[in-house]
Amino acid sequence: MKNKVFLVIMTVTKKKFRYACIYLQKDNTYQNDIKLIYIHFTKSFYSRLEGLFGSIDFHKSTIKIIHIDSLPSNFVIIKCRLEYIDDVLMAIYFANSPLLILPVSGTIKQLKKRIHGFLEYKEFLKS
Amino acid sequence: MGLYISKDLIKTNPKENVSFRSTFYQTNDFIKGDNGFKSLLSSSFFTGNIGENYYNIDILTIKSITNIKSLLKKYAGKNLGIEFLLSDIKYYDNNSLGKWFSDIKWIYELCKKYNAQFILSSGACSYYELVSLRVFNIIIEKIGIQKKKYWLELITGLNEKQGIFSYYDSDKKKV
Repeated sequence: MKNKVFLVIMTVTKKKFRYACIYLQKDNTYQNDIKLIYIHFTKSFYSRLEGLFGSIDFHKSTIKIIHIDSLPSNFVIIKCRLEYIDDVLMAIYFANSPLLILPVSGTIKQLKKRIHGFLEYKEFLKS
Repeated sequence: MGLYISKDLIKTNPKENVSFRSTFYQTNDFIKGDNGFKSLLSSSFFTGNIGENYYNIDILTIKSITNIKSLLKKYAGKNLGIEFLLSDIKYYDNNSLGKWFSDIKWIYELCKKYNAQFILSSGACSYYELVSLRVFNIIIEKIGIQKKKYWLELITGLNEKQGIFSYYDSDKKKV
């Protein structure tokens, strides 16, 4: 019985996260260098999130940028708390970078599947 | 599905540019076949000059909110579509963006008061400026508008305009 109560409490209090994937578009401004584009995006995104929603929410959202080797360098995965996903998505949209916001997932595994689905449109992205 | 307008197609003179939607819809069969786009709507830009005549216009894209209240008062009850483009504010600094969110709520209330249709649009000129429905709904909610209410009002407003079958030419004549 004690174990059951403990499990219920654990489930209720467990921090839930969401994973948002972003496709960074290569840009002539940064000589198509994806590293420079990435640095510019992160700076712009962080300042937007902090500027629009304040530093308290910025830190509460516990943002982490995750790199996955199997994915092209254009893809950036942002992990954040479920409660702040709306703020994060809005800050991403208003970040001063050419990018596409791909669907949000609760697990990296599911997100990878969606990214592979998105990669079918590779030719369109080059145009 | 989203649509964006290539910057190359946009003419520098806004008066010549107003017929773009009509031309675009006429030349794209996949849109023509869609019932939602049966009627062609005319559009123009508002840059703060209240003296201009917009009686033949269905959708007015707002580039400056100066004199917006006078404009809405002047065209009260004409069911004029007041459109704001997200691409215009995408690169604002944080302070201006916050002010825009505050102003837009006030304008939304004014639109309701003077019976104008409030429209928010991506204004995308490239595919990476397109806005997903999820982000769009987040922006609507952040403004302080209920998303269900917004979409319902938009559908009702567009349905009322259906059957107009008009396009806009550079001489400002509705044909």
